[in-house]
Amino acid sequence: MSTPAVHTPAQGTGATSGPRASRRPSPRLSLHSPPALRRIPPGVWFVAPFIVLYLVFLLTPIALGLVTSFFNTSLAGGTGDFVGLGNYRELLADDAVASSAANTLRFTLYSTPLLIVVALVMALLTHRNMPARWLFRLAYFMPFLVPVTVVTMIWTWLLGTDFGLINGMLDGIGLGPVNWLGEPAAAMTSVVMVTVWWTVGFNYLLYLAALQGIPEELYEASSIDGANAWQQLFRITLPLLRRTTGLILVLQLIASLKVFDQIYLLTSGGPNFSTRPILEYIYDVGFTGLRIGYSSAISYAFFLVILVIALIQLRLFSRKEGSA
Amino acid sequence: MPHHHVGGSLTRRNVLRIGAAGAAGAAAATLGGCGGTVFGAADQVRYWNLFSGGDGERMQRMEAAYRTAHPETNLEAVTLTWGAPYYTKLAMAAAGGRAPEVGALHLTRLASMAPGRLLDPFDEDLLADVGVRRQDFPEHLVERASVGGELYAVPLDVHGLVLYVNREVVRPTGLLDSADRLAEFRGPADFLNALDEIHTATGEIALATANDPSSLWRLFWTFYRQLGGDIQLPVGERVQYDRDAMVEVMEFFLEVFDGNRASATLDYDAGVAAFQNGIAGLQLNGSWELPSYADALETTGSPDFTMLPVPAVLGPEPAVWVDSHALVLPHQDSRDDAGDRRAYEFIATLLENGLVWASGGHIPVYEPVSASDEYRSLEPQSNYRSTAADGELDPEAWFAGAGSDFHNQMGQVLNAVFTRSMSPDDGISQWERAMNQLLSTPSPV
Amino acid sequence: MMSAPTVPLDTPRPTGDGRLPSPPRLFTPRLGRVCIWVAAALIAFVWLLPMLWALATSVKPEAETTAYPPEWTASRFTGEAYRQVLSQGDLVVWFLNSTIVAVAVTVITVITSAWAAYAFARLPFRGRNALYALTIAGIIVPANVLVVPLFQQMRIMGMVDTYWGIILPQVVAPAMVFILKKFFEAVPRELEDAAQMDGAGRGRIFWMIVMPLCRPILAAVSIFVFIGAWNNFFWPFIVTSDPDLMTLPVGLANVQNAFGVRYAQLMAAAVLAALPLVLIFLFFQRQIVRGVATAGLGGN
Repeated sequence: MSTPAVHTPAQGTGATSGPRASRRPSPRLSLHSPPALRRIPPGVWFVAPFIVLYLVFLLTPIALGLVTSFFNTSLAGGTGDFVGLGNYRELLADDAVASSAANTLRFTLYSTPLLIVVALVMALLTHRNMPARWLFRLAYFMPFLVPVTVVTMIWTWLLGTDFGLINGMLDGIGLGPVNWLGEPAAAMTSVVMVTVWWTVGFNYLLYLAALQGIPEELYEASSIDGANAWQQLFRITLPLLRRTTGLILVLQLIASLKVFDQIYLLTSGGPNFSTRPILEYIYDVGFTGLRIGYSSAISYAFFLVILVIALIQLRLFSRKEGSA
Repeated sequence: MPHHHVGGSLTRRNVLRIGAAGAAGAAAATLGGCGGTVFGAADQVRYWNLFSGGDGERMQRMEAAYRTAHPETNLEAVTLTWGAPYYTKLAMAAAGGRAPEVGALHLTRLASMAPGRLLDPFDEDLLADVGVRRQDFPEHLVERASVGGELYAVPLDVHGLVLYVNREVVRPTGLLDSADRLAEFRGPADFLNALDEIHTATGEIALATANDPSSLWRLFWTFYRQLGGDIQLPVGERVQYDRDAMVEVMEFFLEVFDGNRASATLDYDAGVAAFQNGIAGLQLNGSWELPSYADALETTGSPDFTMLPVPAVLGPEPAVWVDSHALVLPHQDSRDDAGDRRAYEFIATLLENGLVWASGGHIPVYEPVSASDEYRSLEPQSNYRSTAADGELDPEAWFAGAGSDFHNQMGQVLNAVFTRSMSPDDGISQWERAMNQLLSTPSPV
Repeated sequence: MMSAPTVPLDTPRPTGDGRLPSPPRLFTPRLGRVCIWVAAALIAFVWLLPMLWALATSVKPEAETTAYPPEWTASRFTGEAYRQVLSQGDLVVWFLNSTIVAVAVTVITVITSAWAAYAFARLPFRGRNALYALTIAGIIVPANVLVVPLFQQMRIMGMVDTYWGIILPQVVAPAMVFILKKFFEAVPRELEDAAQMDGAGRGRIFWMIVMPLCRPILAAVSIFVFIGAWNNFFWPFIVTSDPDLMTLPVGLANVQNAFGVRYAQLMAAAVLAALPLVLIFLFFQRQIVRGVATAGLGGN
């Protein structure tokens, strides 16, 4: 389900397929295909496998989710009874929906700025040639390649309150032990910290690529004009990175709203549900609590919220692009 | 239900199954069809369970015993992930009517599995034929395993909270005498003093516990029941419980979790490691951790440990949390006598091999095993035999039982209270609200 | 020529009159470079620390792992934990499952997306524009939010706990179609026309001309899809409960059950599970960086 999110690069890149394409000579298939099949344009065959997969594995769940959300379907079997908007009424009154949605939002608000700033700092520090640069790049990016379970195994061990390395180091400088994963404020901090460590490498590479796309002459010219490094940073580099930052922001928001893996594995949503994201509540209700109908309703509501956010972002983003 | 066996299911097991069926078919063909069906379905027993690690290893030995005794039957055992995923899967298979012949289950989870819809009742005459009768089991387990007079589960064991004692660490404090008997506690103060003594002697935490929801629930339920507290979960009504007793238990544990006597922040792994590596002198944990420590003792020479029943601390009676692994018949659309007999024979074989199971720390409940001299001479298993009788099963509801939402709701509250980020009163109120909400939703089973 | 749609960059703007105030010389350039290097090295050290600690723990004897305060080295080095973990066999099974799943996802995703993208770029037919619009709309669908209905559907289709059930829901990648379409449109049409004159069918042109020309971008996106599929946790976690079918990330989530509580073994398993992709990165660094940079795909 890794439907890759994508930015909309250069809306007018290269050729368009419009008028020229319609002048194509009539396409042909293999010589062995029967005449009836041969009359179907080859484009249809090329598109068919993708479209079939798209219909079955992307559109069908969307439709099924909507239908199921009007029933009190149980995982224990059967479709259940039609309850109309009952599930939606229930979710509006369900405190756990509100609090887990708030947790998702808090996670997004804390992690997004860090994931942008840290990535930017890393990229700015290492985009010029320097000794051991390959090692720095590897160090920054490597965690992104590590399966989430490995990430949480290692961090659970590091963050352990009683035997963990981090508390050991804090102890060494005279600071009291922190209950990293067992106390609400600390647990959210830990989750954000782990997320930054794990995924910042992706944004780092995006920034790095953008920095390398900035023509060296710009810097040379401004050096001749006597600009120092700080002035170059603020007058050339950062303005030229605005688009990349916008892109990262979009990707980051969408990814953060769907957060589940690292939280489920680190805290299971605890302590006292203080880190449980909405997606985990959906999981808890549907799979642990057997209430497929109700959890479909929650997913559907959440699905619509993300869709709206994505549309707004797309709108803003393409407008910005248009004005650039 | 399209293509369950062949079509889209590219599992290795299915590939093997197809291969095996092909081979069997070829064999049958050469033998000129001398009886028996070609495709395994007719003479196979499929068995799903959630036992991994030390339990899994012992279960496999018991399965091997069945295979030896019944070479004509193809026993296919599948181990699935413990907890919610397992019950989800079992429910789904039963809902689809293609369930395995036999499934393992926590007895406290029976209510969540919709007996009568997802589970089929046992035919007690047939069960008696293979040597298993109601009266072979403790009455309270049979009661819990029955719905409307029909038996839906056959208990394999009782497994409960026990007190693990590191003899080397604890003996100098005088808490343990030379015959491995624990000093008697006359009230909570005695218990706290004992923990203080161990801490003074070692400089480490005295008692290891774990902060995951299910572990916290086990601790809580043990001491809450010692105070005589109870919880009733009547669907459609409101939760009934003893608030004063709950507060008292929580306050007792706030004294235990002072960072020296015990740490409220150990997770399950850290709790086991703390005892296994000789840091904590005592541990309150399920009897199933026996193989881990026995293994460590064998390979590294420590910990030198024994296992004792959880002592009565808050009340006169040594009540203790327990659950029971039981065997059930997931619902099948059509049943036949021959298939049932094979399933019952398999269950009987597991019961008869209860000693193997007991070596993993579980307490057998099938009388021919539990009353046997072999079991009674097992060390340290026989020490905590009384746990089966003193045991208190979880409250009953469709959302309760092992690894359930009920465990999670109470466990989260307990963790918040024990780490002092919530007062006992607030915690209980939060839990009460959650329970009432669950009770007001229509049961999905 | 084929130029990748690069990460969006604002077009360089003329810098006004270009006259900047004379710089205050706080640092010599050399000192500045040293400071930057030290900062970069410090961050790298912090970023490597967790992995190093996992490595250090994994070669300790089990009983010394919980020493407190923590020590980087134990009384002796031992490979015992690795031997134990590997002898359990589960890790190898999960590794194979991950490989099967990731390879299948990559192949199916790339081929079906490339076919569709090629048709959208070059092969007109009635309704094509509508289908393309549908595809583009799919880009913003947050698919894994609908995990509950998808699971229901897999149940109905009998695909729960099967390889296909893990693989197929991961292969629909509208964004990839969008990206590849841009690249196919940039392939010089003359080559295709010439091949068509020679009597080559569309399939042949696609495989013999278009695909080879687009090899760099295909390599980049393939590796990227592979990484995503290899590391995907959520969906395989939902759709499998049979340990024999689990992928590495999902299986490891149950590693405690499998190995008892052994921190050295846990960390050994973590190190082993992290290795394959780190090695792949070392070999395919360029393609991976390019995959990230050009496509900007993969919701992390």
